[in-house]
Amino acid sequence: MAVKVEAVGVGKRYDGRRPSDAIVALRDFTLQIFAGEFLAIVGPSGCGKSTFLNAVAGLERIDEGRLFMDGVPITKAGADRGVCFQDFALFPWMTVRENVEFSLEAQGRPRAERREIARKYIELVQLSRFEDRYPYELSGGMKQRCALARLVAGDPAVLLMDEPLASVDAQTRLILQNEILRIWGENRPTAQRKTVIFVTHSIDEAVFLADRIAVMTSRPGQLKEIVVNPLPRPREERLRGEPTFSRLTMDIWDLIRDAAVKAIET
Amino acid sequence: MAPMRWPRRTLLVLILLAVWQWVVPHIVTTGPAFFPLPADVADGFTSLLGSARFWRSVVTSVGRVLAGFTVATAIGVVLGIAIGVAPRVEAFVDLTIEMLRPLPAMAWIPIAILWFGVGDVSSVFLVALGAFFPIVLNAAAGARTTARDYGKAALTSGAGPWLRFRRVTLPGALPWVLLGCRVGLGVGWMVIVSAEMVGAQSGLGFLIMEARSFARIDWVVACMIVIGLIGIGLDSTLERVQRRAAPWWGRVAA
Repeated sequence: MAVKVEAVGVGKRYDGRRPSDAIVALRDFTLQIFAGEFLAIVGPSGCGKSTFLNAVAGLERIDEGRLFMDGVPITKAGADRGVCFQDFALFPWMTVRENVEFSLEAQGRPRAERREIARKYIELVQLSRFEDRYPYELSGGMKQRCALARLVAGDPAVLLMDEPLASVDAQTRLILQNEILRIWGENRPTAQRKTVIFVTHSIDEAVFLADRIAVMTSRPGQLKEIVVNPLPRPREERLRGEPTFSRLTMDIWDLIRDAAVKAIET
Repeated sequence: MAPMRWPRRTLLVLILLAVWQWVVPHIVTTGPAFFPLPADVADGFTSLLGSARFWRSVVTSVGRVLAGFTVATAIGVVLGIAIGVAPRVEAFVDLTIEMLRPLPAMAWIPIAILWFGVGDVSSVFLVALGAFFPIVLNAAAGARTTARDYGKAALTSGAGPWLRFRRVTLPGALPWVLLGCRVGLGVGWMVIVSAEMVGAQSGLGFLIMEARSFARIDWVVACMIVIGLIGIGLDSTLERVQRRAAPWWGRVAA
C-alpha cells in the first residue's frame, strides 16, 4: 500500500514566557499513514494529538523531523488536506449551502457547478431542508453534518478530523459515526477511499471507525503502539456488542490508562 | 436590548416627571427661573417646536454629526481592518493611537478653533475625532477575532488571500464594525453639543448657550431633552442596521 502521509522524527515545542515554561508537545514522532486508510489517533489528554493533526494540515510548523504528503514536504495549508475542527468553525455569516460551497469557490469553480456539487453533499448529510439556514439556526448534530459536508465538498485527498464528535451528545455521536463511515466511502474499494486521520478521546469510537489505531504516550507525545483493527468492513452496529470489539477497546485502554490517570493528576 | 416595551420603559420617566412637578417645588423654592417645572418646560417646548431657528439648529447639529461620523467611519474602518489583519500596520500605528485616545475631544477645541475657525469645520473635526477611536478599535478587534476563529478554516479550504479577505475577514468583522459605529456615533453626538457651545455660532449647543443668556432656562432644558431623544433615534437606527446585517451576531458560536 502506498504511503500517503509520513511523519519522521517529528518534534514540536511551544516556548513559554520563561524557558522552564516550554512544553514539548511531540518528540521523535514517527508514523506512516497509508492511502485510503482510516487511521485513528488516541492518547491521554494533552499528548499532542491535535498538534500533530495541525502540523499535517500545515497550520503549525514543526521544529524537528520531517513531514511528507505523497513524498513532498508539508510547508503550508492546502486544499488537498481538509480539516474538520472540534468546534466546527462553520462561517456563521454563510448559509449551510454557502459554507459547503466555500472550498469550491476557493477552487474557482463556476457558480452553477458549485451549487450542484454542494447540493449533492448537503443531500448526503441529510440537510437539504436546511440549506438556506444559518449555522446558529442548527442543532449541534446538524452543525456537525454541515461541517462534514463542507469538509468533503472540496474533494481533499486527506481528511483530518480533530475530535469532530466531541461536542455532540452521546446518541447523536453514534449516529454520526455511521455517517462518517458512509461519507468516507466505506463501501468503495480501498483504492477509491480517502485517507483519514481521526483524532479522538474516545477509544470505542476509534475502534468502531478505524483500520488502525495509533496509541500515543503522554507528553511529549510519541508513538506507543499501532493497533491493527481486525473488525470486518462495513462496520455494522451489531459489532459494538461483539467480544472482539470490547476486547480491543480494553486492550487500548490498558495502553493508555496509566498515562491518562497521570494526565488528570498533573 | 429586549424588544421595545414602551409602557414599561416609560414608567420611570413618568414617575420622575411627576415627582419633579409635584414634590420638588415644596423642597426647592427658588422659582421657575432657576428650576423650571415640567409644565414650564412643556410650554417652552411648544414655543421651541414652532420656531424655525430651532429646526435649523437641529438640522445643523445632525448634519455636522453625520459629516464627522462619515469621515471617522471611512478612515476608522479602513485603518481598523488593516490593523486587525496586518501586525506590521498595528505595530506602526499602535502607540500613536493609544497616546491620542485618552484625550477627550473637548481638549482639542482650542486647536480646532485655531486651525479651522469658529463654525462647521471645527465641529465636524471634533465629532470625527471623538467618533474615530471606538470605530477603529472595534474594527481592528473584529478583523483580529475573525482571523483567530475562522482563519484556519479558510486556509484549509484552500482559499487565497483575496477570497479570505472578501468572504471571511470582512463579513466576520462587520458586526464589530457596526458596533464601533454605534459607539462612535454616540460619542460624536455628545461631542457636537459641547463643540457648538464654544466653537460655533449655530446648532443645538449654541442654542442652549443662547437660551441661557436670555435666561430662558425652560428652553435650555427642552433642548437637552431634544438632544437626548435624537441620540436615542440615531442609536436605535444603527442598532437595527446591525441586527439586519448580522443576525448571527451574539448567538451561540457556530
